[in-house]
Amino acid sequence: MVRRLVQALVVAMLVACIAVPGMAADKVKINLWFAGNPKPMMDAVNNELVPDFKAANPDIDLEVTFVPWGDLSTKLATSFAGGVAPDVFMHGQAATAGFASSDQVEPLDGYIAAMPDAADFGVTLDAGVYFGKRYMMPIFGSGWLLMYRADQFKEVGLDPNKPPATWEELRDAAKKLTIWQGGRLVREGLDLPSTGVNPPQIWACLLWQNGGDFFNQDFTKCVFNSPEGVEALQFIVDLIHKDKTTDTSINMGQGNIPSIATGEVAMLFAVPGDCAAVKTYAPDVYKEVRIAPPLARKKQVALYAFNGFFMSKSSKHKPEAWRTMTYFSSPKAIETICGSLRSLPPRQSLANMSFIAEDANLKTYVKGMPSARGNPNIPQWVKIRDVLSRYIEKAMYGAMTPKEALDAAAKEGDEILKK
Amino acid sequence: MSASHSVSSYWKNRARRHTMLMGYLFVAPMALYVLIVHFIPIASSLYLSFTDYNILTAPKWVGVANYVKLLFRDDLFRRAMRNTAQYALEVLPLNIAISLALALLVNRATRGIVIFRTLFYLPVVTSIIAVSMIWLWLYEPRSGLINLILGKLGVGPVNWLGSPALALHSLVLMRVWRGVGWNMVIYLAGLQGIPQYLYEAAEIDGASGLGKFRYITWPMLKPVTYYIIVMGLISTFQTFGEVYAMTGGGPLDSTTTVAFLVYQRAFQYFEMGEASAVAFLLFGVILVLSLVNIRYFQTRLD
Amino acid sequence: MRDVRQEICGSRRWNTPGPHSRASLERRRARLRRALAGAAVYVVLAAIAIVMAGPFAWMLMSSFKPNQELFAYPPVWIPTKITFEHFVNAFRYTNFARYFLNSAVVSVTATLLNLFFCSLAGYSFARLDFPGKSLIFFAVLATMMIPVYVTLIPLFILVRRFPLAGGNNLSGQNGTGLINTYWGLILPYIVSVFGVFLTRQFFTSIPTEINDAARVDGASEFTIYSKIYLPLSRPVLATLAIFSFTGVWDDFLWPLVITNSEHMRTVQLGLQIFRSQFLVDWGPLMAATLVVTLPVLLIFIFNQRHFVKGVVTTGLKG
Repeated sequence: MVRRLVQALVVAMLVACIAVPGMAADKVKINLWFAGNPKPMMDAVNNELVPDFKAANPDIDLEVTFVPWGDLSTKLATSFAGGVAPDVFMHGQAATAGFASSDQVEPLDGYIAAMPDAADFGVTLDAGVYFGKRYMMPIFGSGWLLMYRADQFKEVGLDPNKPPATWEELRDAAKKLTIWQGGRLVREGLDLPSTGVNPPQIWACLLWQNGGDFFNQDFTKCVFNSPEGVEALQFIVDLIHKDKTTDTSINMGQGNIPSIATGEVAMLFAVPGDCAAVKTYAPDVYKEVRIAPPLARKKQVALYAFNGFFMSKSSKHKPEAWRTMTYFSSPKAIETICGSLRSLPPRQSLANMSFIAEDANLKTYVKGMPSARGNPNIPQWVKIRDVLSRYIEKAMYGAMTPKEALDAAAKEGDEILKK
Repeated sequence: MSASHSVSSYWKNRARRHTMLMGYLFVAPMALYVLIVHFIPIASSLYLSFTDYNILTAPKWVGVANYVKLLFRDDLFRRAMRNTAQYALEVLPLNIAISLALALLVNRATRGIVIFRTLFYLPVVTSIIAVSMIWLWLYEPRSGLINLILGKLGVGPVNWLGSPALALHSLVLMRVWRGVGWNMVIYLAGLQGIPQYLYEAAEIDGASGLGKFRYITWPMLKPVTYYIIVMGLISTFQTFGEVYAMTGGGPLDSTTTVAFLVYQRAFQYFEMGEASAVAFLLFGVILVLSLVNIRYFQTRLD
Repeated sequence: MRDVRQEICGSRRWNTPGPHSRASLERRRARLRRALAGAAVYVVLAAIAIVMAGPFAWMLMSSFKPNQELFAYPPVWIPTKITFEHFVNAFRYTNFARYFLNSAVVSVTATLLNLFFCSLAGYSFARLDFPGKSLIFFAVLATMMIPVYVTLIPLFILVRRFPLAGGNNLSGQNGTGLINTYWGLILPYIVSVFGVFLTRQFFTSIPTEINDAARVDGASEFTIYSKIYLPLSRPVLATLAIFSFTGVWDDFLWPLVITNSEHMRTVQLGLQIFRSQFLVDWGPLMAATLVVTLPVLLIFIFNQRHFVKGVVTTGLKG
């Protein structure tokens, strides 16, 4: 029995080794890594784009790899350290500074200048800028906007067509939507993330809306502990401890049904991917789900971020790598990828592509793009973001006052900037 | 201790020489492998722990700066050490007690025992991705199954992963659930090795069930328990997966473990030098604890 | 229930009907007591089984539930309609057959290599005397105390610079080494240190008199190891086989960094497909996890029969 098994496996192994597709010798090999591996995107890329690309570029032997977001930096770092980096890889705009400052990615300005339709990307090309050079071809994006439910708004006497536009309106709506029952918070008026990477993202929107900023002009000092920043954090802390519309529990929803669909939370800050989740798994609820335009205080701002392709400096076939990038950032490719992910296209000509045109919520995201702002592009950003995350969490749990928390974060942040 | 004798003293005696040569020969394949696949990478990272290395550019020698910073100016590192120690301290005794009890319970030839063994072993084999997804849902504060049941009993709601006081214990609970099946198997294998005549002799002497356990089973399982403790120390002190998948180290750093810190500094901040230094400080702690444990068991065993 | 009682009583002689003497009455009482104790054991076992296997049972149910019942409130335990859509969805587009083949090749190869090399070294550490033994043993054991994330990059570089592989020359330049190959995938699993430790611990409990007797008979050390120790150690070898297979089958990190092509991926990488940033595709994830878990379970069930030998005669009670 065991011997049979072993024999079968040895045979299988031999077959498997032989069955590895051989490489055509005269072709140029290009490795392309996608970030994220949701099935709709993989299917769209593998079944539509890759065959199309191969037919149009018979001289390129393209190998596409999909890397889960959570493991992207591990896999990229290992391959860069091992000297086997992919020719082209996808990452978030926040990665630009790290790779550019280490001189591992190629500036794209020369290539972009020769691109006939570069203007179609508008300002999104600047998402991946480091010291005045562009490093990223944006492919898809997302933004953080307020998500709410029309039916619940009506229930508590709010007008679902007039979503909160200011902090005061937001607080007012949150209070009305909150349900306490016998000492239990049954429905959070406004759900705010209290742990992980998201708290600083939400707070950043409020900081900018209040006219504040993270750093001074030349990125030598943290200025986020300004009165504007403290006021923004105080607003969050008050929702938890004074207005009691929000708590610090982690809302998972129920399995694949997001918490806004189960009725555990009435409002939250959401990205387009969240809309897709509600639409897929709670289609009835999605009819009631609405997205509000960016909030405003002194300014109307929301955090938007784009992901796109970078070219490795170590690529041995840069012209072919660029041709690959050009293809995967063409209107057709972006439309296919964004459609599969239900994400925001960076090309203005695609603002009315079918899946956006038929979904009012996604239209709101696209309309909000003029108010978009991205995270600062400095190599130390991830580290400072995590410092901020820890201190914002402390303030949210009431372990520190907003001022104390931000002052402490700024002190640690300044040290990180000095490096 | 054999190590105190020189090779030459073994060489003189023919039988001992043969044993020695065989000993080296049998260990050689494993030793050669460990040398290449483990020692070389570990030596490299030991070197890196004295450098500033961001993975993308060449490492720069900084001496003991990383260690100094960690030991004297890093609150989070200290917190992570404390969390890790507490986690291990809670997981290990629970794990050993429960897995031994399970092993004794399923070490019988009754009908259907295979099914029970398999059911107890299920948590070990289920992919960590699925396990953490299921437990996140079980722990969900408002609609999770655990709180639904507790609510029926009039308890709760308990904020399992969202409360700084509870989050680490919630991870402990999940780890014990996931880990006992593994040690149960080892204990089960250990129970097979206890010679039957010992129990027969004890029965003739009129030993009770408890007496048999105390004077035969437990002492005979010492090498196994010793193995389980050392392996438990090594693995619990390097706990990473649960933290990464479930809490991300929060809330308020209450679940940040040292291994999580290593990952974060290595692959999120790209500070491989500092991450390596953290790893070697952790190594020191595990090594000392293992040696203490080995001493303790050797004096007790011999 | 009657069969069960017979099993618990362990032996036929308890069932022989005797005359209604005092002794027989007592025997019947003892029989009843044992039966009750046996039933109690089953109750306890069942209670533990619910806790231990509950999440898995839920997973099993979920993989057959239609989407709208997956997270209905109140929870639906038994699906009203059994559907195979999740299995179809999980396996339609992804190349799971290939992932299974890859995982099987790597896991089985690693398990067989482990069984031999670990037990061989374990025997040496347990039964052969040579200078430097403790030092070598602890040095080997200590390699497990370093978190994998700091040795990942050096190990990766080692695999990439492997001489004369994947287009590399003798000094490991020019090619990609063992990256994206089976040998690259298997390399970190060939000899597990925990296996060496495990076999050493178990071999120490075998009486040394056996060795002395065999040596007097002129048996070589390898004969003693292979003909006496290995057959005596079936439970521990079964344990090692289970753990090696499980460990390799379930590993995610190494396959992630070492494979690039679709045709080299393993099942754990395949499972990631159902979980992305924003949403988890529960139905297919549960269905796929279930199928991915089956081989590991089969290995366990197949091997655990070695734990039952001798138990009938020992009659060990907890």
